[in-house]
Amino acid sequence: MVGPLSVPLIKTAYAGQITALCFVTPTVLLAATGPFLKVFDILAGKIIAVFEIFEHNRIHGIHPDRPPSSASGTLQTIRVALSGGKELKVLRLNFECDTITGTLVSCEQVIECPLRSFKDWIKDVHWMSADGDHPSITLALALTHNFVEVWDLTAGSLIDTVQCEEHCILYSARFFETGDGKTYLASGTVFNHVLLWDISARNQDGEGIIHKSLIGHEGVIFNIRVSRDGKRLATASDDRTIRVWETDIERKSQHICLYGHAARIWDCKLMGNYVVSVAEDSTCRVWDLETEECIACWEGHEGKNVWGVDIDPLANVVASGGGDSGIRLWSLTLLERNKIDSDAQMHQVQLPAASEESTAPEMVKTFGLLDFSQALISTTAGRFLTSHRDETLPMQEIYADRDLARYASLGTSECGQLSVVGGMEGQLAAFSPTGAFAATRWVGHVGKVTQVVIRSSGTAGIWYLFTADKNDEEMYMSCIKIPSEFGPCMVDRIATITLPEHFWTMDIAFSPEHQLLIMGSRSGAIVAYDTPLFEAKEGIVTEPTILLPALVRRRVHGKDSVSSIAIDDRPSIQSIGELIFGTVGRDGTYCRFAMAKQNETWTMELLYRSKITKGWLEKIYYVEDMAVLCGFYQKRFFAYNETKKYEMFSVACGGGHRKWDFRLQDGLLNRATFGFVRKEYLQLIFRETDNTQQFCEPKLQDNHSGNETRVVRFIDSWGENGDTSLLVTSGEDAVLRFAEYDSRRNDQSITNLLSVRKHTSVVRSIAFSKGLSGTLMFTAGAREEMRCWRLERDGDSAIRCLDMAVAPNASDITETRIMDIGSASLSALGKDFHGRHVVLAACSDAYLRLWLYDEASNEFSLVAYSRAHQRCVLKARISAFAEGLSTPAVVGITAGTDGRVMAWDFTDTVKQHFTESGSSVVDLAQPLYTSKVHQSGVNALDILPCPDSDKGLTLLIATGGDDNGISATKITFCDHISTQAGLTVQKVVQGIILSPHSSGVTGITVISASRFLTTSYDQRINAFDLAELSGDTYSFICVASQYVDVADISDMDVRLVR
Amino acid sequence: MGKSSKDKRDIYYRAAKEQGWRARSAFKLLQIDEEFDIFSGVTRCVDLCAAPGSWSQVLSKKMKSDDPNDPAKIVAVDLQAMAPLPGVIQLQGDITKSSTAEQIISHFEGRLADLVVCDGAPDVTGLHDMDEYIQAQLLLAALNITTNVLRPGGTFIAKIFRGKDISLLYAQMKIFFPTVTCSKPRSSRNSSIEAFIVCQNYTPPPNYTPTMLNPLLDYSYGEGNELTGINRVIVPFIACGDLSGFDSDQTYALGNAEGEEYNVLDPVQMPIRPPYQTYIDMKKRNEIK
Repeated sequence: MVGPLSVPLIKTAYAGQITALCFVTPTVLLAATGPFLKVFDILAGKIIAVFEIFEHNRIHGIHPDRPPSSASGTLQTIRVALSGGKELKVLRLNFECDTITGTLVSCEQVIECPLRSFKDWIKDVHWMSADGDHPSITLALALTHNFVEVWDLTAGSLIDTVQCEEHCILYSARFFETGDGKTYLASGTVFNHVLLWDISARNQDGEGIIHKSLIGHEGVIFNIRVSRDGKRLATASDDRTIRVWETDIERKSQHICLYGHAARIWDCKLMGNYVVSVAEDSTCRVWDLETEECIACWEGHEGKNVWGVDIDPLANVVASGGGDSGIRLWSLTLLERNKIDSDAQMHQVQLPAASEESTAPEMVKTFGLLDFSQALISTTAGRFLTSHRDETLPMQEIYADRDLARYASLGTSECGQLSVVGGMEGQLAAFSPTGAFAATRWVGHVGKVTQVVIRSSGTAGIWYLFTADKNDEEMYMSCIKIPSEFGPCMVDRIATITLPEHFWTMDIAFSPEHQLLIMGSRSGAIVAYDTPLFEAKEGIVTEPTILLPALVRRRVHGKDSVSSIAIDDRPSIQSIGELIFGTVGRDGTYCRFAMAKQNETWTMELLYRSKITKGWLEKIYYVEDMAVLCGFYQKRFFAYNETKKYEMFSVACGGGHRKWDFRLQDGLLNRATFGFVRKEYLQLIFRETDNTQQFCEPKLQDNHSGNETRVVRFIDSWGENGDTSLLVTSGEDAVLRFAEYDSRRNDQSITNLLSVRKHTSVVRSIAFSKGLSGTLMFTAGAREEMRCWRLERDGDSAIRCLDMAVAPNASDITETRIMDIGSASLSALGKDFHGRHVVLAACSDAYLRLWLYDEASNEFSLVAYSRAHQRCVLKARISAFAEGLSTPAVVGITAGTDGRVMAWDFTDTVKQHFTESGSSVVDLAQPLYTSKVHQSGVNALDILPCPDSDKGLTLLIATGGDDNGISATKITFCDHISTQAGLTVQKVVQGIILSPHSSGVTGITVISASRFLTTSYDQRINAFDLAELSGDTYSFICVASQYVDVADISDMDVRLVR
Repeated sequence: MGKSSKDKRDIYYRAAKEQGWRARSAFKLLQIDEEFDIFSGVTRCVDLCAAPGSWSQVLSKKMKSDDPNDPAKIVAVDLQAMAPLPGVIQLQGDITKSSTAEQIISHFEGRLADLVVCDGAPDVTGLHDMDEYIQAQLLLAALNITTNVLRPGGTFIAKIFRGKDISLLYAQMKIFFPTVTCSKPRSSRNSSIEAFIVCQNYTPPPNYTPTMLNPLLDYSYGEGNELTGINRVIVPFIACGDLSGFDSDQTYALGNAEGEEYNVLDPVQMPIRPPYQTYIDMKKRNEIK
């Protein structure tokens, strides 16, 4: 027997919506997430303190007792009222700052007023006595039914209450003070109006008088914000507009109406001439009130909503907080540097005036950047000139050849020391833009040189050159060396690369360390070559090696070009024996692959795939610990930080067809140069910024999913470490997210490890099975999509999720959803079944389907199906059992919207599938056992084998229903060697309770033979003990009930930690 | 997603179009009626938050008066105007206003209603606690006006969200109605927190005077009203609707067995002007950047 639950449930980690953000100084940001208030120092980019404010509510409002201080590092103490639902708590936060750096060292809370509950939901809080020395706390509360209460919280007395003359329900309200010291409330009504009313004046009925109605919105008002001087008011609405009004009640003014957000707007802040807004379209936008234009649209949050926004008091930084639990920082001051729209922000390179003999002026044909301030320009006169940012430095002619006037294919080394140019007649020239060596000319091709690519050898002064002509069967690889004394550089052709069929090379990556060459094609293919060790052999001319493809993979980016390949040599990434590389394509996706050599053959596995843009991706840069992707979308060039997931920089350049080049020094683009050719002129943009003056980490808090999570699972098999738990979640966004919870951390956070996007629609279920090597994971969801993955450990804290197989569709209806899956390894059935797994799928077309996954063939095959439920099947569990039985058995449990739970014996079906050749799919007969346990759908199911003293297999089956009820059924199955008729039901013990929860039960976990946990939309986690009564029935004893602050709980998993 | 996709996923959406209902929610009221026989002897009914009008459609079909001198009367109240329905008196008004209650009663020639129904739901934001609170306030506003217009012994049916504080609402309903049942029609999705509260035999407390002057505020947790445990108010749950009927969670094939091509029907009633209509119009004219 288990004793009563001795340990209460304690909240330890939370990743939920950010509901409010509030700067108290330029560097100290308060964030509300669930019941927690987090204190961040944005300069240091770290969390300083976390306080749990409410037991039953999330924080919806942060109300400091005074406007934010504009000096950072001086903050000592501030009082903050925190509202959530009907509850209010007042804290004093005491800060300790580092006197030298000005950063926060610590923050502690003192409770000024304990938790108080009011009679209506609090919409806004106003400090009536904001004097810091004054001990009394008098607050005005704006409540949902459009009335105000003024409380002396120190005395605990209600000073005043006033109902507005307009009785209605508010979505929003905001207090403001006018110049004459009067306090007004702006009420945002469900009737789309904003009412400004004086909370101290009364009409003849004793109700508050409306002085001004702001009419114009066509939807409800979700938020109201007032400018710091109280003169202007911004409102955010259901009608997808932000409107800015004047508060002056004497004036009937026009308002400004801002359209642009593609969905409902949740909040907006006014600061000077800016409005910053956040919305359901998951963007944060900046609006210029003078031009009434949207001047920035920041996309950094996943999922549906961004709820919280604030601007620091110096108007440098915007913080946005998402429904995805991420907190982002954006620079307002760098707005112009991050989004280049006008020619005034570019440098146009002026070529020297035309020489006398030429009538046409000399123009730019193509170019390459040599470093952050120099470009090498190929001109229409066949000249190659270096241009420096410093215009006082004259242009220098590095090389000239009239034959290259019409056509030149130019390549520049990353170090900027070598350039190679190819011409119409197969001629090539290598020269030094820095003048380090003399040019070399040779004829390398027959006909036009179409491609010139230079890659570093890893050794200074030695490069590899890849060139191609119109012959699409081969490319040449040459080695270029700087001579020891000044003179022409040495060029040796070292290899002839045989291309696969229809392979038009787009980009080349070469790893001298792995002796591996990888190329991408215009039609989405990747080819890899083993290369010999190219040793620098002085003066020995050898025959070029012929390289044959070692591996070809087609359609990596669909039919679109593989525009860039880069070897990921970030120190944190590479693991021994493997080469990790990334590709981007014109399908707008970014992929990561691992290549490894086993028995002299290369294997290539897709590690990650993510669609970044509807436009093109053109280039990958791995710099510091980040991945930066560049591309074009809607006639703009952009640089996207893939690690931090946001667009850092964009230029209105006209589109991706132009000649362009980009250089960057760091992952956040504090230093970068972009150039492009427009109308035969070279335009350059030099970027030198320093974000670290404002904040060092643009992603202050990492995000999780911003959409509904449908499934959460602990990965039990993951290590023995009791301090950490690995979990995987998925849901409406179809992304599999792996995260780690470390109980030793005390910031209430969950660390993201990996996101995998492969499912095309909602993922509803995840199941595990022990594979021959590592854990197999099955995922399933809408569009009848079911996949198999293999999980691998990657170093100490990283995980890899390898895409293995996808199950074919079995339903006639493409919209069929797989509601749930259970999976099990068949190893218990004997040696022949090692590496084979069953997956039982509950499907919305009223079928349950039994699948087999074979590790050897890496394929799914359908074994059997049944329509016994006749309605949508909601839940499925399956397991193979040996204990208590004479021969091992495969048992499945299913449940559906019919409220029935069924038990199935799949043993013979599975065995026959292997014995009979060309085995057909079996239409299963009736289940072993059926019982109607709920009035409506069964939304939670768990099973646990409970070995009894009797012989046979005993399973405890627990269910939770949409009818608020739960059931427990213990079934004992027996098998009979003599008849070989399979399992029969020997004994059943059952119990049902009708209303243990006030709402539908969505999670149930059996933790022992007599105890289980349940959860429901009513936001309680209950623990029940089972007592077996005579007459084969169970009675339930509720041993614990805990309120949890997660609304709409859709799934629960329990991990028992020893 | 194809045009027929919603038809396949949602059998009731399809059935509503085939049977001429303005919204699939018509089936919810029909199924509640199957279980509770709510129209028996009912001649005066109020439909609160009636738009787009599918419940009024059900009412006008189901309510029959045996007395030709006292025909069945349905008053449909909504903030927004809705397309006219034969046999339904429309009242554009706010359910929190006493004038609205007075107008309703005037349509019944001073008599009180036998049945009040409310299928209203707020603009759901995605902040569940706030959405549930606003829904509860809407329900209490509906209850408040109901106490002004319902005859003793009458029935009140309203949509509820079964969220964290649902027990408090149940407790409040039990003050006015001895029989309160939480009912879930089979046409309401299994995965949704929506349910319907069926409150029967209206019995206001002694000395209760209906008023619209102050809003009815919801209860707070206090003694005898515990957040957790066994003391909370429990109302029975009843799933309603024929189990042999359609399953709202099931995916059905389109068309008939002969493989005849399926014809996707347009909705019976296009949605009323949404708040973002101006945005859509401007977007079409390419005026949104």
